[in-house]
Amino acid sequence: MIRKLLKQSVVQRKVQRELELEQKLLRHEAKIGGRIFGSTSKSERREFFCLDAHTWVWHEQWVDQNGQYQSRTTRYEVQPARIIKYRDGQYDRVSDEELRNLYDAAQLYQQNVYRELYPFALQASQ
Amino acid sequence: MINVADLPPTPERNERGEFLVPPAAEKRATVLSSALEVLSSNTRVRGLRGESVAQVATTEIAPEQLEQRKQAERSAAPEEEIAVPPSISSVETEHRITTDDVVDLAEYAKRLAGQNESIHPLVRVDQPTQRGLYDQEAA
Repeated sequence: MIRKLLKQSVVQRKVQRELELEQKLLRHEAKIGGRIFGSTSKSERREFFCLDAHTWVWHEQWVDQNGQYQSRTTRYEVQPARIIKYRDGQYDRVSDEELRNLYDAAQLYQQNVYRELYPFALQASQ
Repeated sequence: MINVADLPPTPERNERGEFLVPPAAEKRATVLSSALEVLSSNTRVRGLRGESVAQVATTEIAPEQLEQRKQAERSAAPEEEIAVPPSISSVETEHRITTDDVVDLAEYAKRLAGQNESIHPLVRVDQPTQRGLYDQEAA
């Protein structure tokens, strides 16, 4: 009985560790993604990341002229035949140009993230 | 004296002594690869990246799939109603948006121009791979 409980606890801890690691990896990816658009000032924070297989997120934080923190999040929902952008509480279509740029950014993101975090995936794809 | 608790956990190794890739990292790499594939397929459907839908059809898509994609493309025309995807509508109150709800692009561009340029890196950067997502709209 005690052995069973111990085993259960070990498994739970392992699952918890994996979840935490996934969150940390995602946060790190977001930082790498933020860097592909150039540098930011100290009062700015920029993140760009792939949330899941169908969602890309671009997040910005900055201090405005009144010293107030502002933020804006843009979410791109990718479907097989269209993309919808969600921003400031509104849904919008994505123009061809914007989609092309998003694709370029996503490609660069994948290259950098693979190189810095998942080199094993690079080896597998070669 | 070093406290053992301060040491980072030792990465697991297999029988051959190679480091094991944590499942979480493997999962993220797979998710990322799928996400790029979905995005890539979307750009092909829209005829971007220098490939026409017809070219894609001869190499990758069966005729019946092509017809489906063409229909999907037609349904994404700006004049038509845009369905809110389930993943979004589950977060927000479920509704459908029409062209009236879509932000007027000229107004949007004006808004972007009036804000601190550094807030919008996607507008500002000018390298081919990093060009602004919105510079076309802003123009």
